[in-house]
Amino acid sequence: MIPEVSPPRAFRVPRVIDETLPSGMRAVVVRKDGAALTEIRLRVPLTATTAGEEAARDLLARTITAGTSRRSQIQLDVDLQSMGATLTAVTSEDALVISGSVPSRRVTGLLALLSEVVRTATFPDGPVRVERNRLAEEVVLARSQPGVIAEEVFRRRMFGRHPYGLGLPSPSTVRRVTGAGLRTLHQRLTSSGTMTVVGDLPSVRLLDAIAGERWIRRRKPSSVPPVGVWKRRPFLVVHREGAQQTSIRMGGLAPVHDTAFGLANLVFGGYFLSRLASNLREEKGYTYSVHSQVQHLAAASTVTVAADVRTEVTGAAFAEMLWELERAETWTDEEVDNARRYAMGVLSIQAHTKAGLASLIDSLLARRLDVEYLRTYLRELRSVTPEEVRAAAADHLAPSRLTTVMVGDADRIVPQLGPFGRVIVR
Amino acid sequence: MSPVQVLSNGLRVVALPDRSSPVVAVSVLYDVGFRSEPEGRSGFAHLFEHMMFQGSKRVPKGEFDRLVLGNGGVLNGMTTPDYTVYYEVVPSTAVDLALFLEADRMRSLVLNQENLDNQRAVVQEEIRLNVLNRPYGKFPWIQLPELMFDAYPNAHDGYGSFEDLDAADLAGIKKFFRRFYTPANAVLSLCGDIDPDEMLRMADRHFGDIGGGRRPRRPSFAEPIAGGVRRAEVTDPFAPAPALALGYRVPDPIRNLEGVLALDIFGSILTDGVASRLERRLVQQEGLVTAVDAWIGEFPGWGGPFEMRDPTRFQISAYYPRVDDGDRIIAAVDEEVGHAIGTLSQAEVNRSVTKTVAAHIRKMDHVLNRALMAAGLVLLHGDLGVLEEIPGRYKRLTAKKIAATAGEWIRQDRRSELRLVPGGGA
Repeated sequence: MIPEVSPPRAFRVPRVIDETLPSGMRAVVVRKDGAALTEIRLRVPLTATTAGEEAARDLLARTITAGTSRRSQIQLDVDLQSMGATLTAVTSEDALVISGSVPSRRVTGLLALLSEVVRTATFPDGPVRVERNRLAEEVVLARSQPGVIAEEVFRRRMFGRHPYGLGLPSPSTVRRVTGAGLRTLHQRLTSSGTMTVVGDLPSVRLLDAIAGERWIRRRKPSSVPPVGVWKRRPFLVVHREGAQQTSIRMGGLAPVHDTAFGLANLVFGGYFLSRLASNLREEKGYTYSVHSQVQHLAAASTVTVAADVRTEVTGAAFAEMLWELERAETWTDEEVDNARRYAMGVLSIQAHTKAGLASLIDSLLARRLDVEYLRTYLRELRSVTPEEVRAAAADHLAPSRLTTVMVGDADRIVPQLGPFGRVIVR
Repeated sequence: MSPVQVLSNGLRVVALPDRSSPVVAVSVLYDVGFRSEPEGRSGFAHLFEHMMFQGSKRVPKGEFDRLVLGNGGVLNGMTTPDYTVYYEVVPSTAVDLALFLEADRMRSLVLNQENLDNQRAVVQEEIRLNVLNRPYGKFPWIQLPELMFDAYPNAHDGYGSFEDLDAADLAGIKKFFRRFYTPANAVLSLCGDIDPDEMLRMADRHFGDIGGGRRPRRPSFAEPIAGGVRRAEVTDPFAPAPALALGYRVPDPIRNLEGVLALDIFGSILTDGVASRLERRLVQQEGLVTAVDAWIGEFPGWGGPFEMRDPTRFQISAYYPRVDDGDRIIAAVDEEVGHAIGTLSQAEVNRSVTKTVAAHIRKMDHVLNRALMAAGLVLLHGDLGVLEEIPGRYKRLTAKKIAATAGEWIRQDRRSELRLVPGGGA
């Protein structure tokens, strides 16, 4: 007999200190016992509106740790190593995010170093030149990856001229960025960011350690232009010579902070039990990788569907995807309940490590939510009805609302797409 | 009570309690991987891993995933050179279920032609996605062993050729199951919100009556270290730029873990971080390469000092923009390796060790990583004690020991040199 599973211990929403410091920065601090580690996430709004700015933003993230008013790039790396710490900066669509991790007895040391980096990064010419060349090479490399090509084509198709459609900067754009340009961009960093700290020390002590450092001065934050009125664009096929698979990408706008739609995404394609995975992978064997995903950006929430399928079954696979998009009314209550329990379970799993909890809180702050939102989320996960989930799918997953691109061997794909109306080939 | 218990059928059980979060990782490692595949059956171990998700006597096809995911857990499998891993991370109330599911497929996996055909297709799509349809898909993890090793277990491609996969038949699959998927050939490990005594009773209840006899004799993978230098050039149709990899044999990780850890630290002294020696020379000073890495085992991030048997390898890979620079890069690597061996200081070693140990502790913050590490150590080293000793073993390494080990193993007169040339956009 298959063992019965009793309801899991409820997820305990962590107790946090959530305070705005005099500098304007919002700090969220959590005590979590266990390993003697502390995790830090600093998020500062930073957007790009042109390809040049996008290139500069990427390079700023790569070189912000390349030297400060007091330390050379190498000294900084040596000092981090000596603490057993890491500090990594990346950009998301809307922000610069610096992640740090450090053995807890060194946490004040890492906070001091982080403060020095964000306030006094010098962007020296030597390291900037190295990173500029490296980024230019990496762009060339990235653009040889079918997944990256498909993502770029899709974003441009979906967002047009909006900054979210920018994609990777070209190598020549990257090569035009200078140290001086980066120093100017660095001046645009604002204090209106957020800092998340999760460690095994008393929260008050961690907060004092943050407040004891100087952070960026108060400045007006940059903002992302609105995405504007959404218009579905015609179906596009982009030819890739020698492609062995077709990368299919479909997407549209999604509702903001909508738990019912989050569950709809899971049932449709968001995890392995989904309709898409069961049909395209487990029943038909068309693909190894197929999924859908909801993403919340500052100016838009989106849903995207991605599948990499065998070239000769492109048409058949696409027909199945469209079929599944229109069948939300057949989703059973049990399928919705599975998704509900899965969503609750992965929350506990993600939050069980310090790094996972820090990233979870950081993602809430990025959406201008707070940790208390988790209570609302958990309550809604329990209470949303299957009808509401099916209705959310019917509203937002209708094929008429989604834009489609395919990247692959056009000569072999296009003949399979006859039934799907007009196709533009590039 | 010793932390490793052995059931009467030979199943080794490890239970590591950590009551801080209501989650538990359950993993079963079978002592069979790429290296145990018979000649002409490349890819068999991995294809079999897929079959393990296709249903067992009391768990119809699809139910395994539904029960785990639908109760808020995650699951996966992974095939490595020396073992095949299956795992679930579940709410603590679902441990009984996870053990039941693992036991049922160990006892009574259902194998039929339809599932074999479907999973063969899925595996072939996985290979297209991860290997054939992208640049550097075989570099260097498939191509370097082909050059370095002569014995079939070590030299062949573990993903398998399409020819061999097509030749896999049901009878062979069934024989593989009977031979390798026995309790005596496996380690079960649990980590998380559990009581160890209760876990042992639960494990015995689910697995105790599974028969299957003795542990199969594992063929030897040993092969002598090739003298001299081996060179090969491969063409990659999608790669936009060249790359090279240098491969060296290392000591037997089971008999001489200290030697392998010494080389692990030597690798991080060469390429980990901007202050590392090769990074400074090749990237910052000479601008010759875009990325340089040194690591032990299969991929950066998998394999490593603890996860493989002898023979395994130390490798240095470099991606670079100009085809003609290969010789210069190799000459510079040799010079820096020689220089590092001659001038290594204890301070440099201590920094690297501090960083490596902190990264290990961070990784072990996740219950799954702890469960897998524990099971791997029991399977390969027969000794769980190593788990607690890892930080201490790194910290005891001296500059003298590392230099001597590197001098003995990282030799330019005894290695493999693999060069990848771009095939011009296919």
